[in-house]
Amino acid sequence: MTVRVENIVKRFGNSSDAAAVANVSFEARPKAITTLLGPSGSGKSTLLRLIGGLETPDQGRVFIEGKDVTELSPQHRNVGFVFQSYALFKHMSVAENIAFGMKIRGLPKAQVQRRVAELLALVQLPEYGARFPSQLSGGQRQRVALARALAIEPKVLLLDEPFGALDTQVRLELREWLIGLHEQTGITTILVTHDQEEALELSQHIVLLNQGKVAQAGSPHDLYDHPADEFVASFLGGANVIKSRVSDGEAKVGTQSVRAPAGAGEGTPVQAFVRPHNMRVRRPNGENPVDLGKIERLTRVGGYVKVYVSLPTGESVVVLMSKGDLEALKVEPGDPVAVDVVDAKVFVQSYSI
Amino acid sequence: MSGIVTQRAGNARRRDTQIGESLGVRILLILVALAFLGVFLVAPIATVFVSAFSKGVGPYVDALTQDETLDAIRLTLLTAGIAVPLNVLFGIAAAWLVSKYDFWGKSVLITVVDLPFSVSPVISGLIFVLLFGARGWFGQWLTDHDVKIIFAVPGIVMATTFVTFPLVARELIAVMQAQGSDEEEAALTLGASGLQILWRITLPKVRWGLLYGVILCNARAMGEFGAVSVVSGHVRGLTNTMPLQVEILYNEYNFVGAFAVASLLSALALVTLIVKKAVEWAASSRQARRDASARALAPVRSAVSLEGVVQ
Repeated sequence: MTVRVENIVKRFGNSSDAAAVANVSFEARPKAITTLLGPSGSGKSTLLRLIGGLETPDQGRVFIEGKDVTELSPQHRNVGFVFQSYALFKHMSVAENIAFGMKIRGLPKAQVQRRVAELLALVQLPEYGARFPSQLSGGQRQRVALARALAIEPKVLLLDEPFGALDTQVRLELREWLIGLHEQTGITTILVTHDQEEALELSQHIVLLNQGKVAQAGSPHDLYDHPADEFVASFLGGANVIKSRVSDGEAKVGTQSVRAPAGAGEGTPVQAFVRPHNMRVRRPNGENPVDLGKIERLTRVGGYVKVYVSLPTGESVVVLMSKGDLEALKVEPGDPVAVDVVDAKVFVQSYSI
Repeated sequence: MSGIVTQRAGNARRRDTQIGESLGVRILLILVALAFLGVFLVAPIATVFVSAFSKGVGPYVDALTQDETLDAIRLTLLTAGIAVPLNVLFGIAAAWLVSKYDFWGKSVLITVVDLPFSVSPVISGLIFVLLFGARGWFGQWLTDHDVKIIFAVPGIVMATTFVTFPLVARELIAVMQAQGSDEEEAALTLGASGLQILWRITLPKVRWGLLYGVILCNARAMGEFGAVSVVSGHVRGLTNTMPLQVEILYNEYNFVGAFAVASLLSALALVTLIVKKAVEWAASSRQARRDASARALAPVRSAVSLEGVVQ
């Protein structure tokens, strides 16, 4: 049950305005969770609404199961749509909400009743059928919205920032729960989120969007470990940016030298993206003091310590170390330290920045 | 918990005295407000009823059961009975259009909806005379086909519908715009057609606003004087509505008769306000009850929830 979009363009307002979605193509694999990830204004929600039929594209086609649905009204697309605002029918009970789509389809009462009971059990709210949406917590409302969307046995499930309005604790719980639910139902799911952690944890496939275009698409592993460009590297996982220049085919990053990108000539300015856990701080071991950094600050976060180090180039970086490793070093703020880079992604610096 | 409540009450009291005026000023302000209310609201309404019953109940009933007066009452009911349903239809259509769609000229449409409120009722009546009167745009055609609009019931209904048009539409536009379209979009993805969405989602959502608009629209439709006066021609027993009948009786020095009809209109206004208040109260207490039961309710047994599914 694949979903495929081809060269989708969507503009709001004047044709001179930048397109909200500018020529996007991607494919959501069957039975997987695909995440449309991106900062706000990247066009991810618009893209989801285009797939659901709630917006009409200016150009391009949308296919569900190989069938061109571009001209089809959302009424006939048979997609389950879950909104950030839940969009539950406030004047109907939970059970009536879930039954709505089935009643519209004219299913027999007995069947509707049975299915509502099943769905209430599936979303772990078996005893809440008679309640009204205003009597539920945010997390419960979103689970009802999911049950309502699943009730029509949709070909695809479209989730528009489903956990965006919930507090952190509930969000984490629902994330776990959604993974379980997806394993149970196996329904092809497209999820929109701006939360990279949510994307990395939930999805088998990520489409990272930036300014209406696909920045990179692939598995969470691909995007995290092999970012295609600076935007991907900095958006996903958070990274230290260290500026440098190519010399002898290498770029100096902190106290290390890293291989420069292919084709970058001598003296080309480059940027290295280094994840905080891909750096190590150690006591100086005979290095030229000019090459050493200085510890600015130590912040404990649970079992880890964030070490803020100012590099000799003047840049500040964050190094994430386990508490034990750091204590073994016996360093204090103000101490000179060497910074080793375990892994870095080096890009030729774009002149637009 | 109770400690917090008392403390908050204490704070409120203290704040009261801090921003409050001195006792003398407060009494003066209250008296001014009461005097104003008395002179401009209570006294006129009281006068209507006092004058109506000035010669006792018998003449009052006689005045109301005169043929011409009964005809006026009948015509007023007929007019409201046509104008209000029409405006409910127009109002729902206009509000749906304005709140659910974006299109070129939308702000113009919203302004046009308000137009009947911003022009003088006399002009509103005159518009129809200029269109359908003997020398109006369609006058000749209407005469040729023997259709009477001006100085006849159709004109009165048209003028009333025009003047009361914004009441339902404005109320619904405000409510619908505030509520957004999320629920409608959800219903659409669940397979509902436009009519099903209107009937099952939108109308239940806005029902209190709609009822409120209908009540106000009805009151205005029955009480409209200016526009109706221009198009009616004051043909006794045929084209006189209640407000016009009041004027005629008054001009004939039939004060009991005039005030008797006026008392009916005033009573209608009072009933309207009471119903309006009741609607508001019902809407808010419904919400309050739900909130309260949300706090108090232990999970309801699933058997109950299943009964609620298909009804």
